[in-house]
Amino acid sequence: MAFDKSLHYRHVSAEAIRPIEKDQKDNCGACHHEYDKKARKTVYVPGKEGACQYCHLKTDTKEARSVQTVTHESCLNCHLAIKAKKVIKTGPTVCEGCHSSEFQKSIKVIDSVPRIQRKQPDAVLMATAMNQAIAAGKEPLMGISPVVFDHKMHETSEKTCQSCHHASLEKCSACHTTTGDKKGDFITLEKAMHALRDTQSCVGCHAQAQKKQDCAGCHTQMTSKKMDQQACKSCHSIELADAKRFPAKSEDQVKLAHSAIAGRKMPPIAYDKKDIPEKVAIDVMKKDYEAAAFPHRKVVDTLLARLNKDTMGKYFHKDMYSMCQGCHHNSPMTATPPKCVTCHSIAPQKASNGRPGLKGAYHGQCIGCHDQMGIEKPAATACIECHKKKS
Amino acid sequence: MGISRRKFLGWFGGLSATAATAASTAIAGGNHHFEGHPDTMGVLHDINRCIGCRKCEEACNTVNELPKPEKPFDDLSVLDQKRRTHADVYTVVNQFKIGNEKKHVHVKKQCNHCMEPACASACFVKAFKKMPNGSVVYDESVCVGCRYCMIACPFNIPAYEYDNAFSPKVTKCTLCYPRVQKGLLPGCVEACPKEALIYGNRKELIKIARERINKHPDQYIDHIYGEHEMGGTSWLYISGTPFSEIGMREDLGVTSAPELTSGPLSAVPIVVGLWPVLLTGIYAISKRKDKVAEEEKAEAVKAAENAADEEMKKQIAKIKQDAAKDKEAAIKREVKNALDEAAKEAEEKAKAAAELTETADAAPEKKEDE
Repeated sequence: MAFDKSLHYRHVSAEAIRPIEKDQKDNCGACHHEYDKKARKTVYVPGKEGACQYCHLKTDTKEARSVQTVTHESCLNCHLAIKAKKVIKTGPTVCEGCHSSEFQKSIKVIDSVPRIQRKQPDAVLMATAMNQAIAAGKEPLMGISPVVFDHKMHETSEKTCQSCHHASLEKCSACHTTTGDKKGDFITLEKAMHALRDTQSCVGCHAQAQKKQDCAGCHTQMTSKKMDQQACKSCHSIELADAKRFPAKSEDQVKLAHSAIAGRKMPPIAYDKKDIPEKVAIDVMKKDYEAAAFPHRKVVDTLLARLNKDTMGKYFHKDMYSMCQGCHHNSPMTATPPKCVTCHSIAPQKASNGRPGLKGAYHGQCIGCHDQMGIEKPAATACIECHKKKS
Repeated sequence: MGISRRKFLGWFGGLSATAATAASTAIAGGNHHFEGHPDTMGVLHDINRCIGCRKCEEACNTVNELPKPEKPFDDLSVLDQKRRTHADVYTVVNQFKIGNEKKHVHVKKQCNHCMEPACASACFVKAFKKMPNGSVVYDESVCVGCRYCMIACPFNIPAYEYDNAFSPKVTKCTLCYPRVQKGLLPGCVEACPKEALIYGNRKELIKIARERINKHPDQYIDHIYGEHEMGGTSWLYISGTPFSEIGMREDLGVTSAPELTSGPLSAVPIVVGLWPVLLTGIYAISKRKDKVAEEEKAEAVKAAENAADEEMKKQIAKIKQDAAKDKEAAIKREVKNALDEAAKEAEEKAKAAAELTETADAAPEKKEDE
């Protein structure tokens, strides 16, 4: 089961679980707690709330009992107590209430959940190396440009805080130091941000997003490893002429971050019609079939329409003609990419470097993209829908 | 009693073990490990790319000049059934539905052209031959039609012209040996619109396959089918669906058929040489045992008989003795009885006589009284 933002908000706003202690203004203390070792009891510390799993791990530890034990104890007992009062309809009190996906579907979901209040930042200027230099009293060196992270926006796009904050709600660099530390399992900050196969890293999570049907047409066929200069700049976008311009004070850094986010205008992406040919005749090889009239502009328009639905898509395709690279791969971003036949040979030949021939390249891209983006017609095996059979 | 079944099997097992040890020692001594011809060509079938259009089947039919099938090749309804290779069908594409997914997975099936073919090793007239370019070709002029190749093939590929009464052949994919000799690509590879089939040097193909898996780890299973199966095959496969779910055997192991059978087969000469000796020996031993047992038995019977005789005599003697004793005792008893009776009688007579005398004595007295 998933205790998502919607469920969290329903618990936050429920009158029935308001703690009796008068100094607590909200529901947080009903569940969130810290362990006071001296007093040997749990106490609520405002501003220290975190996920249960941060302390209650999968199995019992010296510090805390397993998350299974405590959720069954705390959640279930609270639900049963409220049920006994018969004041309101309570949460599940039977196994399948939490453990069956069928039952979970019947749980009410609130779409517009107000932001969780835990004094988290709206925007973060990520420049750990430079801040370390400043803290050490040195002049910061201008390395890679700092990243502005829109924390507030990511809060809305993610289901829970744990999507990124997997072990605590501290900032990433607290455990993932630049050189690696035991606290962060010796995963350096660079790895924590860029690990491709890890859904908690920036790059890893964004790579997951490319699997959405609207993105998969192009991105499934691309090598996911590729990170070029252009890609770095998409996030490392704070261009400073030199390191002296880097704001040393944290409030100035926040200001810089806010102004950078405010400057992020993401209008729908559109290309000049004259750059996009309407039809392209694919007629360089005709053996069993006639030439195919490829509806080039229709394809581009469809891709743009589906791209513009997605904020992340718009953000990462703001470079002119970057979307064209879905098909015109390995080409610079230009309105006049080289023809496919330049690299993909017409003659059938032995495989030597894995590069497909022209026939394989065309069919691979067209059919592959249709397949991934859920375009069912024409069917992959309906040859004559794209090119007429030679009579 | 001769030799038990258990004992016989025990001896036979011992012999086989000895032979096998001898054979493996021979291989190790030769340090022979065949890795295939260096320039072996092959085909990489990327199952993820296959759309099930059957163009490969059509091309195969055309280039091999096979009879046209009942249903045309653009009729995709034949995919509804699982098919296998036949005398006049060297390759088939099968369609698999995976779980609840909407999409189908298509897999082409044909001779895999093993690096060390099982069919060739099973054939005792050398009708099959692995060519340096990778093709496993068949020579019908020497074939005797035993069809051992069909049983040997782990992929169930070779087919037989059962309807050809006079000169039936075994048929299977040739990896387009004649076309390749002319510098052309195999028919199926050339026809594939998606390049789900690519022809090339086997070593290159493995590199290409590995690269595709590395580039798209979430789209492929990390396994190249045919790289090691049955000691490696010229046809290689990569897929996003587990091979066992798309009709490909995963239980074949990595040892080639000849390697598996060479041990036991190399024991054949030893067995053939030893068997007459061994069997004669076993026969002689069992015969001798029988004879000895027979003799022993006879002796035992005799001894037993003798012993019984003695006993009998003793018993008879005893019985006789007893009988004699009884007789004597009886006589004595009778005699005694008779004597006693006689004595009694005599006594009684004497008594009577005495009484009589007394009466007679009294009577004269009475008489006297009268």
